[in-house]
Amino acid sequence: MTKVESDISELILPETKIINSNNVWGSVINIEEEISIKKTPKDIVENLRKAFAKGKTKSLKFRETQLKSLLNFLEERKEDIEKALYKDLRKHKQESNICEIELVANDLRHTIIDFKKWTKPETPEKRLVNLLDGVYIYKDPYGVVLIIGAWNYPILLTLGPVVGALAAGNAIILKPSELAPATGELLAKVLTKYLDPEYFQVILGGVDETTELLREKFDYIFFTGSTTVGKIVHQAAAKNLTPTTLELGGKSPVYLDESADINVSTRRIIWGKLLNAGQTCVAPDYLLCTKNVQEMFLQEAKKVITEFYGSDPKASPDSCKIITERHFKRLIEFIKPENIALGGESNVLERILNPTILINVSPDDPVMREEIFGPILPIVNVKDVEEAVQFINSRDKPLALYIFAKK
Amino acid sequence: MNSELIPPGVKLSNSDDVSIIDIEDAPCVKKSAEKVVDEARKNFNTNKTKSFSFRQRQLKNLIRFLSEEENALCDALYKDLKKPAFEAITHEVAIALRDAEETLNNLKNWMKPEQPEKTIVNYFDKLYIYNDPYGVVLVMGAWNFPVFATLLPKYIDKHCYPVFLGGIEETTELLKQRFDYIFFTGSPQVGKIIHQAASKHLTPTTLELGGKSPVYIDSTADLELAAKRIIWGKIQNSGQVCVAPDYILCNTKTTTDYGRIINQRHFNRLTEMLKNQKIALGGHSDPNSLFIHPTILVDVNPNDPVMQDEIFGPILPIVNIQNMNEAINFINDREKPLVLYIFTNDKVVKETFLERTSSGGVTINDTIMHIAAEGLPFGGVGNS
Repeated sequence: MTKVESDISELILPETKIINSNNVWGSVINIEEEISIKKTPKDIVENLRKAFAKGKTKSLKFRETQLKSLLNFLEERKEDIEKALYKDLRKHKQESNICEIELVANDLRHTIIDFKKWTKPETPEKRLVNLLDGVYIYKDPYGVVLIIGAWNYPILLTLGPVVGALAAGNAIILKPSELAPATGELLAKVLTKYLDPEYFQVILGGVDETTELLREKFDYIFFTGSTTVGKIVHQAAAKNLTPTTLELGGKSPVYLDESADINVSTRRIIWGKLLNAGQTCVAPDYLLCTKNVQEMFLQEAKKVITEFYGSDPKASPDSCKIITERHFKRLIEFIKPENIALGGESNVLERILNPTILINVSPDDPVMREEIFGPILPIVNVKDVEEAVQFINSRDKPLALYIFAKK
Repeated sequence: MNSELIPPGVKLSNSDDVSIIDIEDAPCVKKSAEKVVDEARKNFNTNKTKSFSFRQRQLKNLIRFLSEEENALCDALYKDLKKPAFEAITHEVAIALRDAEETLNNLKNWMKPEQPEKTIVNYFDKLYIYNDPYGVVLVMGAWNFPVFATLLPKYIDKHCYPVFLGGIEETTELLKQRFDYIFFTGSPQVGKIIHQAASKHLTPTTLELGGKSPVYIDSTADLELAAKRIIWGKIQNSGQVCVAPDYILCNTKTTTDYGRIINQRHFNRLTEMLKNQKIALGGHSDPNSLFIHPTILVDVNPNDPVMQDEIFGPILPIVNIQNMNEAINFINDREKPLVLYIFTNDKVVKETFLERTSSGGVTINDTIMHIAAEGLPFGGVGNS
């Protein structure tokens, strides 16, 4: 198996060509120049559908080879992936590995071992009526599936669903988020050389291209992103009754009880909040606690933040940046100077915002109305557990709920 | 529970009223959709339904309802669909009863939190998967098996399970409300409307739809047995069953006796399909009693009206194909069906169809029977 050595320092790969067109997938053989033919989404979907009808993906051996190739991509191209994630999100190598690359790689390792079991037809219990019949539940692939990735964990949330889709024998169109362009380019130019192009295509683009893509009929759509866009995807899917998985978000509350260990709890809340600069779907969004607990939390939080990022976090090499200008502005607008208990400073050029804690926050403030997705933690005071429960139940169901308590 | 929904802007004449099972004290008939949903939500929030004993009591009452009211149910089904008592019991009441009993037996187990396998990262933690209720769910019953799909308030808690009656306007109002889950049984066209409405709140749905379920018969099949089973499958409820064999790829014949079409609109729709078609058997109908004789059409063209939408009536078109491959291509060129029926004794044929086509279910050498297999989940894929 030959490895590919190319200069990735610019993250725009040199022109490459596939010379062995029969066995493009599997490990990369040799690269010279790329032949790129511009095709419309309609063409691409049609080609995949024709290919799927041929039945090649039904073979477990084929699926296994695809899965192993994807794993090879993650292992052989790890450095390229780390560089792309740094370019897109200023993500530190360690965070990239622990929170993205290794998670997908492990998923792949388990899937490669177990997936054959999953594809076996089930034979459920028979009743008198069917005693003399053969009764089976078959596990068929859906067909041509669309996977729309997210920008906050561009490898994890874009490739994670691909693992399942490959194991099930689907033909896949992958649409990485345009907000993480370096990762998108890497997937479009390099990953495609690891997987069979008859069954795996990457389409890059923004709102316009995605709208065009969503006009096509898919047999399944897997979307990760905001609730607003999720609704648009759902509406498009509804036209063809296409089943979907919509991995969305919301405001994940944290309840910090008087009985909790304040040191351990604060450490864990801050860690969860500041991972990827708060740009995580399950990040603790806001904090519910009593005024007493708030005081203790603030004291402890200051210490923890300094320990993690130093006295000026925006200067720390470990701080992630906010994905775009628009999101950065959105976050700055949440911060009202009179509410700042900690933080508030930012590096506008690099889009890095210091960990910010807001107090005296009203449930109707803008920061409490939409998912924050940034390193800002508002604290809303409650009298007790009952009030906290009511507060949470009066809002949309969250993706995650965090409870710190010993009782 | 309701007559079929039609997209806004299209009026339905009043003569299409479907008579619904008489419910003396359906408490919510007069209230607005908003009020009904609001009250149901308030009741859910009291956490009354969370307890095992409450749910157990409701299920027991539902079972009592199905057994004690068997005659009333058969009468209603006869009024609506001229459904013979035997069919009413075996296809509706008995199945609902068995389902309820099975649920009662398994309820405690199903309610228990699951404990998935732990990995090194969570080794010292406790991991659980809780089985929470969604909250306030909307169950929209189908007219072809009304008892099967609708709950009645006489025996079960009226406050937690209000029955809402109405036609298109009332249902449209109802769909503007926010639900935590919607379970709909009906046609794909209406299913799309429901799905769009659910999109507004990202409400998860189960849409039990339909489609054209093909039957493939080859020369290795026992033709007499196949014919009997296909016609039996087709004539259930006068073909008004989501898993009825819709059309045949190849050829055969036979007949038996049964009920009538649900309303004028569907009667007209079906008799329209017979126009300009070559009738091999049957074809006569009586608009006064909404009766259509079992009809078999031959020399059918794939572009004929009868080959476009789901027939849902006692009309069986036969489309001729040369061989298995042509049949498979024909099926794959169309929407994925709810069920595929194959009559053959050739193992290779069976395997080829299973490999190369996709449908919600497949029954080989019989019709309908796969839904009787309890261990099998029932459902469609794609448009079905």
